[in-house]
Amino acid sequence: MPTFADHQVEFWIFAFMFGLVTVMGFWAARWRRPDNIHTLEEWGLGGRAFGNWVTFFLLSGDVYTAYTFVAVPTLVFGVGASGFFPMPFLVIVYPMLFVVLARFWSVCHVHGFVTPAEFVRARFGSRTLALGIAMTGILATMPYIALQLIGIEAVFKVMGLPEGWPLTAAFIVLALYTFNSGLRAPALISIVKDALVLWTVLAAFLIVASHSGGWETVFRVAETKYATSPSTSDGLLLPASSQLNYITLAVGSAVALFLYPHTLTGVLASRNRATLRRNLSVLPLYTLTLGVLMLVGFAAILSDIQPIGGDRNTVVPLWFDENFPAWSAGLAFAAIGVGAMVPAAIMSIAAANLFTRDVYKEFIRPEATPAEETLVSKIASLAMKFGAVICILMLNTQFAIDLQLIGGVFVMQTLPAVAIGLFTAWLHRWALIAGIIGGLTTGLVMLYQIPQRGADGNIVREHFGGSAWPLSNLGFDTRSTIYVGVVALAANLIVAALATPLLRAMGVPDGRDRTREQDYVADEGDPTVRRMTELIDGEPTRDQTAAQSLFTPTGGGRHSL
Amino acid sequence: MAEQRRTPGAAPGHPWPPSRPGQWPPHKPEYQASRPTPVRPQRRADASRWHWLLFIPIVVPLLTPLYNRIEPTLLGLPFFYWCQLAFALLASVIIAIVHVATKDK
Repeated sequence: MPTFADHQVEFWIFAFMFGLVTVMGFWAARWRRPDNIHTLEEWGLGGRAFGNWVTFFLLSGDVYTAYTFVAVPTLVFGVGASGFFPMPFLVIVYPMLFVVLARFWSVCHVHGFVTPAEFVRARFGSRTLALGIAMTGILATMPYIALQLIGIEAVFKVMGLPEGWPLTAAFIVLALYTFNSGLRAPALISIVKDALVLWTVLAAFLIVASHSGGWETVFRVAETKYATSPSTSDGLLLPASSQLNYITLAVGSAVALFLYPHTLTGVLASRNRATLRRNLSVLPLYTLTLGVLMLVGFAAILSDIQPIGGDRNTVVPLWFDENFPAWSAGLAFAAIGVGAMVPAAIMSIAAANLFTRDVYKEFIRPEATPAEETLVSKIASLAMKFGAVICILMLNTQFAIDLQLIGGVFVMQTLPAVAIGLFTAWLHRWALIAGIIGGLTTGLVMLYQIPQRGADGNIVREHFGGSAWPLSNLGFDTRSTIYVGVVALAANLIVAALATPLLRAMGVPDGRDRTREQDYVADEGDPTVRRMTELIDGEPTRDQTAAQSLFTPTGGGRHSL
Repeated sequence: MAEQRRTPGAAPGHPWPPSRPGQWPPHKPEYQASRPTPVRPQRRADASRWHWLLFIPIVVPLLTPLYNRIEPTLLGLPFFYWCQLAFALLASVIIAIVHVATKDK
């Protein structure tokens, strides 16, 4: 059991980095200070003006969260190759995003959308559908924020800090500067986070490589451990029965990542299409850092790490603690701590924006001014974070993990409306709603059927024990499993595609599509992009003629072919 | 130019673009009416053949039989692990190529 007395150096380095980040978080409100921060575009999207570097830091801070850094190597520690799926997941996601995100950026900038649900409302002309998308997004994001707390808590445990108040204090500070500075705070802090992560990853790789025997010994010891364990699904390579699950998990996670509201918030904050696309070509390299950290999971087997009190999330921090010099371990802990702050801030902002634009302004007070919108969003972001803290402190950790599992399956169901909607408005609005309901039901039923098994193969819990659904439930004689989210999404797509012609044949009217094809390719500098955001923000348009020319087609020369 | 052929002004008897004096070859409305220009499905403004390249970094990392092996090792890492790390470089390079090739669209 680690004690606080042994971890003075680590603690003070952690505390110093935390203090630095706090100062930066509050100062961020002055960074590229706008005339008026009391608009949702400024508070919630950083003025939509982030360039190449800031977008890179923001997106990497968004995607590679503290929980990823803590939980994924732990998974590798436990099962070996099957836990390595985030590697293909975070490679294939970028070429997918490359095609989709530029269109999303353009249409949102032309119309001044801050959330994906606003886009869906305009594209399919359905408030019900948009509300469904917004609620799904909020529900999926909340447990994700809670998971970031689990990441910090693991570090606190290793430093010997008591449970409860340190975590609460850290999150109050985070909540305050997010309230104050909006998306600018995580954007600025993520620079510190990336520097710390890069340092930690390099140090980890070199320390293992320079140990006697290097990586070869690490893998030999790991192989022996998996060979002697009673489980048949672990090993240095994928067993035949795990391959389908590995692939579907990678595909499903990639789809879910794109649809999580916080990813889209990061995307919308970038300055133009080229910034976004350039970043998508560089971000796969960031996956390498996660890849190396996953290998630390194997190194932890060699070091014979025993998780504190059976909490497996402490494996990675414990390995740093044991193998790094004290000051360097402090930096590694800070990397996880700051790595939790950045995504937690972005997620709470994204969920708050969804609430403001798609629930409050749409259903409660349509006449809300931009200043009022911003205030509502700020308060909602506080509520999200405190909800997460209460969830972790009052309920147990396992509950948050279960909710996150369900949330991932849920958020995937918005794919037909959000992603397919970027390319075609063919799907009928009620067919999309039916599809989402079909997908959610399928997903929930399948998750309910999955029991959790202990290391010896006995059933520990009857239901919601994971996301790998055994195909033997269908009567196949196989040990193969499949990721629930992919099956639920397939059910969703089939329902939506079949119901669309049916609804049209019955004469159910389609919603009015308020977007036009050229909206999806508009870029910075096009007249529609700038003026529309000004209008949505409620800034007075300088003259009426400018407002009238909003709906004239944008210049055909640049985007005509 | 493809844009113009679809312009709504192209009603029968009013050829589009309109003939101008001295234009060569002169417009022959009767000839055009007997052989209507084939209607191509409208291509999206940001569509590009280069995007097909993106299928490589999407599909290859999902072909588990390709890399589910120990040998050859690199720096002590089994092939399964370093090969998947290398896919990140592959994806980065291919996305960069597609970005540069389609930048001016």
